[in-house]
Amino acid sequence: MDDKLLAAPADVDLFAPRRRIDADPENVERGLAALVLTIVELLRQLMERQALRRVEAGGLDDATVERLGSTLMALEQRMDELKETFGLDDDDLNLDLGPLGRLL
Amino acid sequence: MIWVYGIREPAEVEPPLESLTAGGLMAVFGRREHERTRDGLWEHERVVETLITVLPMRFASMVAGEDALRRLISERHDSLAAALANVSGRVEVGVRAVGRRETSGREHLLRKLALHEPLAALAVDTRLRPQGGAYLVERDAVPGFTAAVERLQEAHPDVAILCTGPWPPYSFV
Amino acid sequence: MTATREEIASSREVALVDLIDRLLAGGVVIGGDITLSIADVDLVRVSLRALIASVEALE
Repeated sequence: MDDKLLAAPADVDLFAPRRRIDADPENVERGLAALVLTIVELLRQLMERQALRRVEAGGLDDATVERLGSTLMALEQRMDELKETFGLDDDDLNLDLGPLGRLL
Repeated sequence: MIWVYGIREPAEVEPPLESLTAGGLMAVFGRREHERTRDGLWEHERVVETLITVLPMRFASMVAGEDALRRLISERHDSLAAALANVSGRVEVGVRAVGRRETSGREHLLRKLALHEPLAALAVDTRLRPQGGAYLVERDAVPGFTAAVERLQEAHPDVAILCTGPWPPYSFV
Repeated sequence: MTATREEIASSREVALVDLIDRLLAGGVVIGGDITLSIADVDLVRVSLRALIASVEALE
């Protein structure tokens, strides 16, 4: 039950989320960045969901397909870069955004 | 505060879990919170998985008390019951591809579809999302599905196809 | 072949992204505020009803 990996290539450990290498001591900075990432990610997901829905439905002309795909690709790449900067560890998952939450 | 794990058909639950039933739907909950950490998420997930066919709640779904919970499942009874019927005997499998950057937007989308369609054919329902595909499959169809993923991987050696599951049907509520 | 402890830990790491995706962005939702999350960053609970509504109107 714990091991949820059904299929993966042999070098699967290369695809485990990477740990953060820079420990940013400023919680506020991390919080702000997390907030920005959240909003950007939301917009990206909304756009991509829209695009994928239309792709699934079919009937898109070549130009549209190309435009959608390039945009999604660029956004995914940018998000991966941003996510890598923050990495994945328990501190991040436990981030306290109290005051920043109120700002919005 | 009570921490809600999921909604399912009425059945016995083991302490420390508790339950309440309204209109033939049973909500399973506990009194302790789980930390928003790796371990906390896995702890929560382990509990949800003991509920077998269940509509899983989002992590950290908390209500003030049992009255509030009872009101909630009563108000949303029909949609919850329909969703539960839909996922009965079924599990969710996740598939995502990492590694290769396509040269054009068109290639990117074509690749997404090429990796999606053969698997969608084996699933009862699908959700194709930016973070990967979610596939609702019959419980006993998981080995066949996994085999199909492995065949896809052989056909696409330039990406890494990661398949995880079985999960409770988080994407099909 | 039995998996080694390292292999299990590693596959757990890979599955973590999928776990977070499901627990934080999936499942039945209680409450009216939008709970946003990126897979690997904390939950941010904000009220963005107007934004969501206007975007979803386009869909």
